[in-house]
Amino acid sequence: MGFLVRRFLFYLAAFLVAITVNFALPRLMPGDPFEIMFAAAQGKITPEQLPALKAQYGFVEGPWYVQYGAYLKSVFTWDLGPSVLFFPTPVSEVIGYALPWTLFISGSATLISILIGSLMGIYAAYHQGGWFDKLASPTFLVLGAFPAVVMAMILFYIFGLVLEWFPISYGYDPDLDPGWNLTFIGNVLYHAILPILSMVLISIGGWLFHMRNSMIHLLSEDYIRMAVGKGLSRRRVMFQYAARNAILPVITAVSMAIAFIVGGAIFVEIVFNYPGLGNLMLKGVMVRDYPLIQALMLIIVICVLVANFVADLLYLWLDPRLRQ
Amino acid sequence: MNQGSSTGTILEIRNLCVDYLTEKKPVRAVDRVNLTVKRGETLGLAGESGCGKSTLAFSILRLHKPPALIPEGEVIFNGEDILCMDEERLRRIRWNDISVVFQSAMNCLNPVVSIRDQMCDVILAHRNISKADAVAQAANLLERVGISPDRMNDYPHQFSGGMRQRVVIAIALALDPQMIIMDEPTTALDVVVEREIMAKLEELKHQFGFTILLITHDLSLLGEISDRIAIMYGGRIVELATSEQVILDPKHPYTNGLINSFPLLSGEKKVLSGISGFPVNLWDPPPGCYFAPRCEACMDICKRENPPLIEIEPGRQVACHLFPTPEGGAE
Repeated sequence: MGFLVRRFLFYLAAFLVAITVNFALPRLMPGDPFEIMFAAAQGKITPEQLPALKAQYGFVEGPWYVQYGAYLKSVFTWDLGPSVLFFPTPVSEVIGYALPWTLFISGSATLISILIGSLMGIYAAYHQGGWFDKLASPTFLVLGAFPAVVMAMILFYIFGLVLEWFPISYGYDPDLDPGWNLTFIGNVLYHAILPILSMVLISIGGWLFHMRNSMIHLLSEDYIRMAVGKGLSRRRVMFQYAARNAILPVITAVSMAIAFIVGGAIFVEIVFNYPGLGNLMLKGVMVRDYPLIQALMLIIVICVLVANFVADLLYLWLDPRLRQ
Repeated sequence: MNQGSSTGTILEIRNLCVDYLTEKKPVRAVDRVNLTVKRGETLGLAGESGCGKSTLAFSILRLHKPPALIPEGEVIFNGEDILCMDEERLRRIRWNDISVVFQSAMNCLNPVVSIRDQMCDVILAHRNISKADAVAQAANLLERVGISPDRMNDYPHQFSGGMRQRVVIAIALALDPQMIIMDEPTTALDVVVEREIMAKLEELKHQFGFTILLITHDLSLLGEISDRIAIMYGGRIVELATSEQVILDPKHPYTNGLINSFPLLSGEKKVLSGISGFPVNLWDPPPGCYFAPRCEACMDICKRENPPLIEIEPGRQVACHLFPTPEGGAE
């Protein structure tokens, strides 16, 4: 229990630091977003309207600590003001629409690559130096070196443009009415295949390699030899004895890479014009939608921290040595 | 216990060789070992570190791992050659008939699985009983080695070293095996705990009647608990006799050197001499007797020819040119 409380406090601190940076960055940057908006409006906004505009976007006049207090309040009440791009829709609502799409593709991509990657890693370790190990390990290592955006563009070009096997845009066919029916769900899956595949292809190598190396190291442990000596089935030795132990360092390694997975999702969404946070971020940056960008940063921070916390819980569940 | 028709031999190792493959050439860690284990006895196998005793023990149940491989030999257990068995038959023999107590109790329990599950999995892998029965059996076993069954749901890191070794012994007893191979079962423990464990083992052997192959470099321990002792040097058995004969009247110069390297618990004081030189380098072994370069009684023939293991008197075998074959024929 002490472990969990410590981790939770750590994440709380990390969260506070992150939102403080999020608060400070726009204010440290030269220029004022409202001056830019003012200039962009080309006379449609009068100087007298400027304070009202600032207030509407949650920018409070006053010393930094007053601004900071107001900012903290807006973060914790999730009242992040209206979006510039989708005015007057509140930022929270805009994000609420896009977030599920991102969670869907990055979540499924992560689960798929964990599952396939670690199974392949286990197999490669068990048959170290075999044909699979010789072929798959370097292949996925090379694929893992691709930036997400490059992988997405390659798949986009080959399977989307040239072969036309998969759609190249949107989360679902705009002609369909969203609903919990097979046609719609099938269509969503069909649209998600290429984005998910691009993320899986670049992240699977990490799992494969970590799992393989961790397993090879573990296979020389005495308890593995004893498990074999006990006459347990090959499968039981492989999973209950070897993989259960090998996965622990892998979880640590991958939880540190979660930020990259989220970062990768952003580019993949942009390439496939997928209606998630990444796409939203691109649009927001284009029109300098500061409230939206700031809220997106906040969401990404929360996602990364939550994912890390989940990894901690998983670790705790798998390793009794941490439970005291 | 199934005593069988033959009360004699339970395990017969014939001409067993184990090689470690290296980049350049194979290194022979176990060299044409012949060893017979009698049903119900405690046979000790002693020798310096690296003499191949653990490798020999592992190869009995084919637990050796690459790059080790067995180029030739037979391991006959109850009339069946273990080295020729298919995987499934071997899996059934493992633990059910022959179990192993490994060297490092610290490391041979799975750290992330509870003691209960590590005991039940082996019972369920071999016996067709319910999980509840397996748990009851595990509790009973723990009690026998002096650990409270309440602690069954605990994990290995929650036990002390001596307790872990007792858990390992309990697991080794789980299926009431005919034979237990013990590879330095008490090396990682201090002498007090070692004594406690060995006493427990004696008591359990009395109850269950299993055969023990005990591997150790601790001759004084062997002298106390084993019936016969085999001495290994450079992958070869150099002497085999009853414990008493080995301890009090060693024939092979190497055995003699070993005996003179440690004080006997009983018996008069003596000057400890040890053995000069270094263990044989199996990468580049000498052509004759491996012990020749360190041997005080080394003769010309020792440098040329490897002495075979011969019976110098009933039940007593030595591999040394000092002891020619009784008939005087073979050599």
